[in-house]
Amino acid sequence: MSRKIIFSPILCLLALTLISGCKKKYDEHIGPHYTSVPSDFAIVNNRLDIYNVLNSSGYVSGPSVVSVNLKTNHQFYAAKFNYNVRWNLTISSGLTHAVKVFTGFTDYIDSTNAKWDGASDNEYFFGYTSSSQPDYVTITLNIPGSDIVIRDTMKVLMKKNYHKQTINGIYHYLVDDFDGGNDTTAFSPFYIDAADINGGNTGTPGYSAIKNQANFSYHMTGLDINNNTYIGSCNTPTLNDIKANTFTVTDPHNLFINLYVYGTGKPNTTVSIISYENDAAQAAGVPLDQHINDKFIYQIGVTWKGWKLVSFPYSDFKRPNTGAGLGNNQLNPEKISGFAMELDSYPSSGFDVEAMVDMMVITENGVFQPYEK
Amino acid sequence: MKYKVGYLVFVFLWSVCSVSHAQVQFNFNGLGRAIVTTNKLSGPTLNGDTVTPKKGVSGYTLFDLQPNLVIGNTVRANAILRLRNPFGSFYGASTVFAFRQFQIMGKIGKVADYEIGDIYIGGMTKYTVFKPEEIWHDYESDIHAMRRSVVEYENFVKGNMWRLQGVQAYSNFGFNKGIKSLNVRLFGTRTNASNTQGTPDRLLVGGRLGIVQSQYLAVGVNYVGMLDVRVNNDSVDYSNNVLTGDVKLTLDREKFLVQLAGELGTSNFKNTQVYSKVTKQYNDYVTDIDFKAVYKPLKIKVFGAYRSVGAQFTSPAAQTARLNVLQNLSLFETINNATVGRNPTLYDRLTDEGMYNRSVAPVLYMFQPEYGNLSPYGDATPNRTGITAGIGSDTSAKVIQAEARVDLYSELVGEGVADKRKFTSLRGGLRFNLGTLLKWNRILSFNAGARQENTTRGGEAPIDFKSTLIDLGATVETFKKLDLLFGVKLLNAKGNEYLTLRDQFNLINNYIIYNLDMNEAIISPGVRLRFSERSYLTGTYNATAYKDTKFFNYNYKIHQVFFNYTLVF
Repeated sequence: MSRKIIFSPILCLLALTLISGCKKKYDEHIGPHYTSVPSDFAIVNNRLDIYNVLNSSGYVSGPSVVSVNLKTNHQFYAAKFNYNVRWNLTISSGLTHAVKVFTGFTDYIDSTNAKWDGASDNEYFFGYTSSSQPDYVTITLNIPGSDIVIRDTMKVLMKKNYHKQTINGIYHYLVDDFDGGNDTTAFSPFYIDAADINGGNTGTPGYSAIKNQANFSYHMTGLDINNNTYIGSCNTPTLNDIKANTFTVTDPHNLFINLYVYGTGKPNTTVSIISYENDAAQAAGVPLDQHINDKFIYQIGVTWKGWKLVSFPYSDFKRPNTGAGLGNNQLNPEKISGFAMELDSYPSSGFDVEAMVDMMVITENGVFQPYEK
Repeated sequence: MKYKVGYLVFVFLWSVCSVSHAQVQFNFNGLGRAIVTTNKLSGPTLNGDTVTPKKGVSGYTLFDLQPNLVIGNTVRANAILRLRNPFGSFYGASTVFAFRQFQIMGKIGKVADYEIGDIYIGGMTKYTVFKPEEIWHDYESDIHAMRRSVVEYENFVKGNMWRLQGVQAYSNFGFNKGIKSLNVRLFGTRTNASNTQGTPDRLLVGGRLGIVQSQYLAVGVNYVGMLDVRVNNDSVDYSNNVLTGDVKLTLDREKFLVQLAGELGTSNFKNTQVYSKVTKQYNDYVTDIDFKAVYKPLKIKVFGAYRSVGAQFTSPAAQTARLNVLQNLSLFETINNATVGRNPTLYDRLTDEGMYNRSVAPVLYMFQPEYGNLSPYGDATPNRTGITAGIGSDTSAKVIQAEARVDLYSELVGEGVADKRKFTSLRGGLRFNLGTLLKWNRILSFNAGARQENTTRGGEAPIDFKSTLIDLGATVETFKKLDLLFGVKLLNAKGNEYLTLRDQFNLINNYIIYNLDMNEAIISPGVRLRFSERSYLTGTYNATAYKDTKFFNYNYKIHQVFFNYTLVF
């Protein structure tokens, strides 16, 4: 055995030993601190209190059902424990799949760690648009490691309002929630491509079977029989429904269009959003003259199943192939006056396509963030 | 997609043009399979349940036709056209026609081999690219292994390789002086396609440079990166890089072989949530030293290992679990008046074609500790350090294959508390080919395997969790090519554990208390008729019983009759 053969392994072992010294120094533990629950753990008075934020009116958990109007009020919850423990406070909608979870590792729950503004943690929303239809939500306080659970029911009278609200520095304008949240820009009935007749083409503005908030979404489906990609469309009432300068940003990169789109898995489903600008400064409410004003298009390829929040900047809108460039031919967020929504079989024509749309919101200086991703 | 098609067409045409004078061959191969199952769900959990479906008949017929085009020795191309018809549909309704695979491969200048399309990524190390097993099943019965093979075929499982879409090239250069050979492997795949609306393209790229210095020494360097290719308006910017070096020392003599191998490496994780402007970044290390000695006359080997995988060592292509236990089940999906999803059992893990992951995930999947708590993500399971020792038969043993092994491991850092888990695992198995020993020209084999795992932790959040997994089986060829098959799987788990939940940064953010007192049994008699080396018909009866009195609190049985005709041509 040559000297080289003997020394090579030794050198390698030496290298192994040296590099194995590369070990990370950790904190005392990874992950949030966990402790087991002592056997004599208890919730003081075995109760969870619910408070409305505005008037600080209190409510002690009990047989009667407390109400909250999320459009005008928020809530916080309160409880006291005899030990520091990990706790989970879960709010679940009885209407949709909306869930909000608060967690903590304290011996108390109060407005500092369990204040609810009506938002959820997932892609669904709490509450209806009408106060006459309460969303009966369940509140569950549980302590991992303990069998103690407090459950209560609460009436959410109206859903959280985003329209014309500035939240965390982001201005929101609700175009349509398909539940009457903003009639000024509510989308019209669905106009199907007449050439696709017998394709089962239909659009339902008040579609209740699948929605991510309140009662309804907008359901669009159909078969592109004539192979022109177009299935049908709808639009805000006059396309001149949003007053000039409603959006104060002028840079199209700072204005975002946000909407929830439900995909069913049908290939080539595309939802196109078409924006209209009142370049000619027509009077408000007068149907927009499309021969003297601009329109731009953004196409959403619906490649997923289920609900998904789609957000994109106005700067991503392009000139459509037809009828474009008739205004100043520039993207001007402050001149946006209306929208149309279109279902297409695209990029391949001739397919049976389907999508639902809900909660279309325009935001300035950031995307719509109703929940933490 | 359009770029990929463009690449495929370009490479194919270029290759065809460059070898236009070469000999062209065209042939077919493929697989045909018909499966029919009748299923029944029963047991105390179903008492008073009037909604949950309790019986069903299902199955399918499929035909995978693979045309192969061979042009000289420089270009090969194949595609698998799948026709799949669910059992019970009329006149071809619900029949699916789809391309299951598309591959182009060949040689570039007689130097390097390349593959484009649907490719298998592997040939690296268990800390860089490695698809870990879903459970220890080295000594399971033939009847269960056969069932597993159906699921694995449907999910493109080939050893421990990942089947992804992309391109790879590899080459081996021989030298007369200095070193013996140098081999290079490079690959690039896309694990996630951009939807241009917030989700970026995600690429998995990497490669290995290996040097065989002599029959005594081989070294290598491995790199794997998982990276986002940002487009406008992405909501996330993610990257993960793994760099390791490995060395293998071998002394191979007439009567014995001694081998010492090691791998050292580091990983770097970075994830930026663009809109919330939150970035988390961390790195960690891995150290692995393996020892093996084989005494050839007795065909016996002893082996040992030291492993230390950092708590934040992230290597997605080596740590993505083979199964997603949160996936909806194909068989009796719901329970409790069809209100909640049924828990996945050992039988589902063996038979459900929909539970397998087909892509590499940047975040560790949840796992159930009763199926393997020590290494749920294979050897690359993070936050483990300890030693392995064992003895077994050499792979050349034909009559008896056996192995016994002990693993003594612990966490490097506690999860949620300062106290660390300690893991002890004992496992062993035996496969005895009595037919070979008796020089009987028929199959007569028996197998048995057992694995016991104990997990303990003291302190403020104590853990005491035990699980035992047992495999038994026999295969007896009665009449010529007519085999009687028998297999048993038993799983028992008892104690308390904590399941960990992770956020988008792959960091633990919560725990679920997991108390279990469960037993599961699968008893499977069956018969197999082998028409040829490539075709067989099996009929098996599977009686399974699941009972847990703590976490799931279910007590039910599933009985399934399973017919499978398979033809490989």
